[in-house]
Amino acid sequence: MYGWRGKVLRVDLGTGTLTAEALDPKVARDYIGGRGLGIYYLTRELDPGVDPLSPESLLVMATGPLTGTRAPTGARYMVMTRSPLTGAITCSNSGGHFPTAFKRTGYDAILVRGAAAEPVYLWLDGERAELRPAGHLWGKTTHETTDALLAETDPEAKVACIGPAGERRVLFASILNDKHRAAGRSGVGAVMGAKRLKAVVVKGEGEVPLADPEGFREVNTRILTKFKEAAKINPPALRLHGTAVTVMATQNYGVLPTKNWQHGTFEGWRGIHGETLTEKYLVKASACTSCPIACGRRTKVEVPGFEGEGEGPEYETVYAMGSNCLIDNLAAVTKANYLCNELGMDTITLGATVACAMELVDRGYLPEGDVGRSLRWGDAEALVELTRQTGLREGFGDLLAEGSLRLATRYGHPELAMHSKGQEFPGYEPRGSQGMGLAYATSPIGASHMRGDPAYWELLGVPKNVDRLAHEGKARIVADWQDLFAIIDAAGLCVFFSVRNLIEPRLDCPPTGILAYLNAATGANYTLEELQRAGERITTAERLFLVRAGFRRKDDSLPDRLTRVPLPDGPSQGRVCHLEAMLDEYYPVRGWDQDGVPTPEKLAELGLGGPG
Amino acid sequence: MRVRVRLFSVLRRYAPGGEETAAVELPAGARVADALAALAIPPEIERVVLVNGQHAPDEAALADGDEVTLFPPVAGG
Repeated sequence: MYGWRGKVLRVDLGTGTLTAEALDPKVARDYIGGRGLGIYYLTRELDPGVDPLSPESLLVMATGPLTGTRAPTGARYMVMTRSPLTGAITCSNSGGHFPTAFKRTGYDAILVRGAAAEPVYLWLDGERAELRPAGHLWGKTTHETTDALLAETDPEAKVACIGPAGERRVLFASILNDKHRAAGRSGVGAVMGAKRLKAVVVKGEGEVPLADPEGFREVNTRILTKFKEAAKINPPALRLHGTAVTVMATQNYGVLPTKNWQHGTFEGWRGIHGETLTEKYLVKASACTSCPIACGRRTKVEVPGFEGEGEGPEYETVYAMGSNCLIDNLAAVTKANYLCNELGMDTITLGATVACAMELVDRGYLPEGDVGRSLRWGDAEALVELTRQTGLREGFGDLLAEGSLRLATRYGHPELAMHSKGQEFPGYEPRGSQGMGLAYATSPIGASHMRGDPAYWELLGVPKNVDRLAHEGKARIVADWQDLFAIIDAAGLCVFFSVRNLIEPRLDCPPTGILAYLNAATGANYTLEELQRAGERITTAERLFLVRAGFRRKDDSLPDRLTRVPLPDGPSQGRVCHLEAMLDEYYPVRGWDQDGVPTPEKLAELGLGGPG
Repeated sequence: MRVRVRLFSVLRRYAPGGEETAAVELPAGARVADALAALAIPPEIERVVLVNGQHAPDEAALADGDEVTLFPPVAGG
């Protein structure tokens, strides 16, 4: 096979068995790779009723056909399993350098089942696979673990590992690769921890074989030339200031979630803005393999009490830990971000859960005696201390480690948890960006900005401008955008590059650039329609998994705060999110019934089985 | 008439004096495109334009006292 490596590694941690098997070429073509392969295997091999933290759970790590090629941003991999936080699926995606090395081992995917009796790590030296003891690494941070593993395997190897948070089953523990890049959301690190799999270490060599190397080079030259020409005219804001530059956009639209989503603007927004990060703490920009954007931030903080070095923070982090907690102290947010990376936790859920706790205290529902310290809005020291406690499940951190919904429910006020399907929101307020509300509610992983993010349309006019405050007509845009993101995730590309350079800027956003790359890489000769159908197959298969796990329309929901309480101030003042009207429109667009279940006709059209 | 223009991030280089906020004098009946021209912002520069907090196309009419906000179309997390 070309593009694909044609091999999948099965790992049974209970028996210590490692088995390579062939990747079925028809499955590869129908599901593309990455996120598509993930849902293919989860559908067939994971009972949706299985406890995500039990040995029976299945964890899939998968690359796409463009991962490890020279396609710009072809450096992503996907982690899929059933989430301990939500009970839905995970699609935790990460870039960096690990995914390319993983693909170059010769495997497209790794399927991990069972649980080891003692901690282990998986070492892939090319196709040669070995499970090694990891007892000496248990308890170590992701940075310590990475350094130790590079010393005992090969300094050229790449490492994805969990930290203490994954070991202690923090429900939103992440998997860090290359120390600073995270498959961040939905608790994939807790699943690894429950399996006592501390790390996956990979060393790959050589290029990924391509079906049409000459054609691939031509596509690459055409796309990159266009990209570079555009960059001459428009200064690269993401390279200059990182994703936290987004604060400027969300603040100006009044959609920067503030004080646990009680407001849409933040007086202290400049404190957490990307430009402030550049001025105060940026060491240099960093990039994933093959990426011309370089949105990564290598940073260093020397402010007493918050000292540290690492990467980040990203926009979602400065919203969750910053405006959402009324904290404008970027040194503290950056420090808490470092701690999340070192302990191995999702920064969004961490920040949103602390914000929820602050509101519970503010309203008198949570005694500060339970917290063990004061916890007022804007308390930067509390953020950092509680981040540390959460990663170690110490003190009150043991409750924060369960996420905001379980915390707020425990104190009798679940309505104060800002989530969909139990996963906390990223930083775009749906009352001023209506399509985002629909995307949050229908994302297969619970609230997410990475499973189809119509804020591009509504706030930036990419690929086309649409009225952010209108809810009519958003269903089609969100459904098409979700299917496009599934193609991007399955191919092994990054959203940032793809939505600006690899699709046609039209309402139906055809991914002609991705098509050209995929066909040159794989020789699969996809038509545009077949590729778009594959995207829809992936999102529908994910929905089917959720339906089998018991999810229905009632779960495609947002908190009353967003659908009933008008935003009190800012440029989105007076608005609520019209979710139910958008859902009425969305399900027929999808070919799902009004309870959110895919119809037999739609399943037959996509070659998927019945809902069972 | 006079409008208040706010320029953010990489667009601030078009601000008179490099300040984030600038007052711009425009003839009556001026549109967003006229405000951009007054600041010598080339038409091919990618930008999001808000008038009083709401997205506005280049042909939108301006009124005295309006606040025009410009920033590059960048987002992500």
